[in-house]
Amino acid sequence: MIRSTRSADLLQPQTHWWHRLKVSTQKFAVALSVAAVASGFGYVFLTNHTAAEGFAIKSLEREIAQIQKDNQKLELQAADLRSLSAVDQTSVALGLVPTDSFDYVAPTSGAVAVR
Amino acid sequence: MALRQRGWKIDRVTGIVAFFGIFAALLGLRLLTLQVLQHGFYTALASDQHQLFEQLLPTRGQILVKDAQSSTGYYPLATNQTLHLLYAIPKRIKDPVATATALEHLVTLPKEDLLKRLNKSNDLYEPIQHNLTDEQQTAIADLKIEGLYFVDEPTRYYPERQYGGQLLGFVGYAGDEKAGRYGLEQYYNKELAGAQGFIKAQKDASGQLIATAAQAWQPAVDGSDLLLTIDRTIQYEACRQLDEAVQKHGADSGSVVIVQPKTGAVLAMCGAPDFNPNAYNEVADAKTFLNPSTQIPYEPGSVFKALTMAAALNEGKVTPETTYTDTGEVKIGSFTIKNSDSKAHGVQTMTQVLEESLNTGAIYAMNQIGAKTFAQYVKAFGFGQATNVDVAESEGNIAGPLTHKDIYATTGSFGQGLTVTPLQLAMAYASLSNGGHLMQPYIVEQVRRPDGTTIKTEPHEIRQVISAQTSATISAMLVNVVENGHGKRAGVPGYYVAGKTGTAQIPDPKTGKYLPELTIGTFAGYAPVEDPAFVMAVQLVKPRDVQFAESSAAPLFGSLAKFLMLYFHLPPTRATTL
Repeated sequence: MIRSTRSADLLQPQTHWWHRLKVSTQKFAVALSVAAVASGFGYVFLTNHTAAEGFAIKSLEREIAQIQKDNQKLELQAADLRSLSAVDQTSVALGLVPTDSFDYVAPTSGAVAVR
Repeated sequence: MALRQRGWKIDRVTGIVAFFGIFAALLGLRLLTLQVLQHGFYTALASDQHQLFEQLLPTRGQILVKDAQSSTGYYPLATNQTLHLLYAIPKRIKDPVATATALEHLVTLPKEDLLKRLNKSNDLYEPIQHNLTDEQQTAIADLKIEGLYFVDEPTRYYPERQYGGQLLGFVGYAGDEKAGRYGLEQYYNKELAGAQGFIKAQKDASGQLIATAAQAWQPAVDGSDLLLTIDRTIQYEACRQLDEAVQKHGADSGSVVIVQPKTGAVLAMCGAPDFNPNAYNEVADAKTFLNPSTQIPYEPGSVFKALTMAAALNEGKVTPETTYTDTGEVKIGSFTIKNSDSKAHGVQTMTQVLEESLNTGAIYAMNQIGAKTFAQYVKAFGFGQATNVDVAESEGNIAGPLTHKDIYATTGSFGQGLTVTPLQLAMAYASLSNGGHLMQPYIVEQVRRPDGTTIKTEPHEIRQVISAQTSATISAMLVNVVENGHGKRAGVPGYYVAGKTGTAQIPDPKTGKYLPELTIGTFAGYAPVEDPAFVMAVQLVKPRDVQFAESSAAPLFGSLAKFLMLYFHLPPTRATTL
């Protein structure tokens, strides 16, 4: 036990500061490598994620543009159908005739709805 | 040997040094050329390759009218649609003949013209067809012909098509740029067009934007929408009936303008023949683009007598019962002016002057106030000056009456020797109907900016021309014209309608004399006279089947007045006698 302690003491000079520095540097290098690899993966993931988001945004933008285009077409179609010339043609086709006169009914006192 | 070897070494080193020296010098020279001497050229070249500059186009504002039936509450008289331009890059087309054959039935261009365009092998851009619809574009794209391309074209669209072209105008080319031409499109072009924006950025070799590079961006500002005072139902009906009347009477042209007398808001403004603004390029005569209600002045004829009479009444020089003796003619220097029927009517009241449309009576009324005062009233009623309506207009010409010479005042008293526009006439009649107030006409009720703010037009009174009393008196006299005089066919059963006919001679610019047979028929009036809902001026130019306005313009006025009474849901105010 004592021997071993002594031998440990004998080993003491070997754990010199530069040796510790060397070990630390190695550890740091390993840590740095791990961090670099992690960053690499992180970068790839983020890039991939951003690209995916970008594609999704572009796809939505295309969809919005298409919907706006369709909406514009529908509005034009509605305006065409509501144009008075179209209404006129339709009313003629339906056999409707223009109102020639109105009979205005004057209100009288005592008028009631019977039922 | 050693020396030789050494010498050789020295020569070899010198040579290598010299070689690299010369190489460095050449490199330096080249750098000097590229970076200093041709700096500008290469900067511009590089800039073209990596700089992006694009104009951002605004959306043109719409022209709207109110529409209670619509979910938005408005109906677009002018809106936008996206069509497509088909163009070719001829040098990329492998078989022009096959391409022309394939396109032949999909475009309007004849095959020969198509071939001519496709065979320009050195041409980098050859437009084939504008205004292709989505369906046409798809049909052509499905052919999958290399060298044919499309580009979107924002295009103006007018859903009502044939009615209102002269009022709306159209969007055409002014130089290289699209701009509003004629009508509201031109008058409000600045508001409708908006402002262009731009994007300035850097792009990489693949053409993608570099997000971190310097960028400049100014968004486009869309144009403002215009909300009109025009009632599209009245506009449609007025234009339709005007078209029918022009055709029925074989007239050259015609116009109808309908205004709210209390505010000056224009409810309808039609011209015939009109044009379809969607196909403005098919119009043969550019005069068709002019709005006859505001841009084509004419001698109005007897319709002006009501204004002469109103002036004399307002000055207290005559009353409806004032009499004079009609001898059938009046001599002014060497000129002799007769009644239209060339008859002498004897003793006549001022009311009868209007009923029978006597020229001598109008001259009598004018003479009571004098040429100078008459000219002042002509001006006060708004003639000879812009009404300031918000479309292009002519001022007309009242230079004759303004000279205060008897002959001009005399002819002016019955509406000859001066020119007015139908809108000026309608506004003057509006002042007869509304208590004497001359209102400024307006067509745009609101300008609605894209940021949601609005500019609203408020009714504007220009001046009071006649008193409320005179207004009531002349209105009653004009009701008599419709009840007993030449304006009977302008009447509507159950309502008091006020108005006056005018059958004006047309000066021949070649001879300087009036045309012997052709006339312009006008009817101006308002109803119901107790509380006028509208004032209307109807004009038919050179009707061929009838001579007088009582048979051309008056019936059209009557028909439209009847429609308006029903449309406004105005119950009758009197027993039906007509």
